[in-house]
Amino acid sequence: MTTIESLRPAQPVSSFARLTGEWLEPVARVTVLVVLAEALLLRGATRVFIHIPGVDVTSGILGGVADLARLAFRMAVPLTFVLLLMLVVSMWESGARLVAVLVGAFLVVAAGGRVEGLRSAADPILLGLVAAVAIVVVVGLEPRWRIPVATWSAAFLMAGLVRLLDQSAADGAASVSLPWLGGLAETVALAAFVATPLLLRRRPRRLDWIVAVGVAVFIALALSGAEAQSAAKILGLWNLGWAGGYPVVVYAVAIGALVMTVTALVRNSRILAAASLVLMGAAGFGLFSSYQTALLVTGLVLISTNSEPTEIGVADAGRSESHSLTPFPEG
Amino acid sequence: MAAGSLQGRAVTGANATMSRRMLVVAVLALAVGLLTQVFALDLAYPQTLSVTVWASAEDPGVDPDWSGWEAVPSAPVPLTAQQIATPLGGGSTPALAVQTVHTDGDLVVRVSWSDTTEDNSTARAELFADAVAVQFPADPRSSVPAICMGQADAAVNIWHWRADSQVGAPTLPELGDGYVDRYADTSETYYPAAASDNPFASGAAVQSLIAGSFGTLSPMDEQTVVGEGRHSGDEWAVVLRRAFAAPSAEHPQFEVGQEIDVAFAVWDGSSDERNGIKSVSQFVRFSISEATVDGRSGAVAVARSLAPNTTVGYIVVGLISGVVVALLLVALIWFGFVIKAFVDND
Repeated sequence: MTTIESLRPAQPVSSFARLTGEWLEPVARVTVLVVLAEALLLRGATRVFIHIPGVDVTSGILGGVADLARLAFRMAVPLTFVLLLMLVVSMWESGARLVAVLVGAFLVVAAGGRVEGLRSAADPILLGLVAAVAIVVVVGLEPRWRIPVATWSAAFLMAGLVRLLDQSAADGAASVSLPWLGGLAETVALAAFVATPLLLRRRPRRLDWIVAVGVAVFIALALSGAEAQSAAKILGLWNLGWAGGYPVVVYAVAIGALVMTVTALVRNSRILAAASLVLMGAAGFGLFSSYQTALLVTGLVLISTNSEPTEIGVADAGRSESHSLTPFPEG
Repeated sequence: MAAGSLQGRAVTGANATMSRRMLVVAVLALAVGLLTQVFALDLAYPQTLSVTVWASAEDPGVDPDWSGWEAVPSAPVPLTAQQIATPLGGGSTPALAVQTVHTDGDLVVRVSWSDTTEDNSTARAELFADAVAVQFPADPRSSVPAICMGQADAAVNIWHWRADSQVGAPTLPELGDGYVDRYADTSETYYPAAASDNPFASGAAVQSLIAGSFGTLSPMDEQTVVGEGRHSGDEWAVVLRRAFAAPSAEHPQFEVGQEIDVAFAVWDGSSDERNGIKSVSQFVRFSISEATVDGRSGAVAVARSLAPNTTVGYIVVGLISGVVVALLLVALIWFGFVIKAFVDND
């Protein structure tokens, strides 16, 4: 069984690396919880509250929730970058130096993007680094994992490319318009959600199906009502970058599949893989902020550390590949 | 038995250690979060579309046809139907183009969009006017308020230009057969809106409004935004302008070097769009630069030289495109293998 316990460097050679290894798991756990709270409260609840007529979001319980949401965001951002930094150290110490260098470069460029005037240069470089990390991670994964992770990454990159092209026009470059690319990104993202059950090493059990169907029905209902449809679609646009042009059932099935995967992973104590999906989901698809882009990179790196064919042996051939990438010992 | 007990104690000890460390991490994160809140430190930065507000030595006034606009890059901003608050709908305008400059301490924004009809009269109940709105957070330092009408603790300032307001209220003779029993009189008596100081009847083409949430939209006490629209061919072009200095705390203050969120909305009168039925954008950012369009001097020039409008930038974009294709190919190549493996193992 692979657990988050495996988040430790195989052979730390320095006290700093040992310290990093010891604290990596608690930091990862807290980060996932805080990011989840941020996504649900700040990007979900507070954006719904304000549309309830007559509700005062500055006081009372709802005001408290809004304050909590902001605090969660303020906590999630440094936690995410610290976790990425710790992963860089761990990867480097374990010999997965290509990923360590790429993620390290990502952190440097993300920090540089804070500098006024360098931002427009930082975005294309960050997206390129995300692409590079995704390629290295996908190649190192066990085979059946490559489909969901590759399609997920491709969707993010396509949506990000749309934003870069818009920025190019805004900066006075020749305008290159690819109106179909945004739609394709959404399609590929939905396909990635549907493909996430490939991350499971055992068939989903009845409980997983019940949860998945429940969530799918809820999504379908949320997207079908008149007012609720509006709020749900706008939340999808803001948080995931989805225009919402497909029939309701498509989104219900896709999100249901993702929830089933996460549920089954948690039930099988594969917390790390579940956490990876949560972080990647919180990242959305496209360029929203360097924090959200960092969430995708964190999710990709974490999921690579969980790629160990311990239960079905599908990818014995992939074992050596994944171990060439991961700093963590076999679970 | 003893071994089992030892193992159990070890697991309990490991769990306790994990809990302690998580608590330490959470407390530290809380402290850092509070510090960043108090000192308004943002460790991350937004990656949404950034529109440069260029410095201009020449004053464009509020002329949509100013010759200098041809040199100012035009940012495409996608629009979608407003689908949050009733009345829902709109979306007939898929995108608009934004150009901005600042001159002599004034922010000047030009927005243009395709519209084959010039709807500048609301003289009859079934007529609706073309319009455009530019929306800023009232406090530029605040996080982005919710799109549309802000939120109670983060209001938005809206610059609202209407074609009918620009034309002005029609005189009764101009109403033609619009109403029965009309009186061909130009007395103020027959213009109750103007007589009661209704802002829409003020004769100004642009209103500066503030909203804290839905149902709270109201005109500012200080009306300092000016503007002018022009319809030519199949396009509207509207220029809106205001001084950097905020006339009151409810207005956003602008300054060179600042980044501020901004959103847009367009109404197409001939598509019966009015009120909440409109096309809206997501928030983008205005980056108020000291550089001129021609000069692009200073740090901005360095950034632009690396940005996608140069050879390096295009190479980066090209690489990314290649990576996307490569990832899709990887997915395609492994698809057959994965299906086979899945079937074999089940």
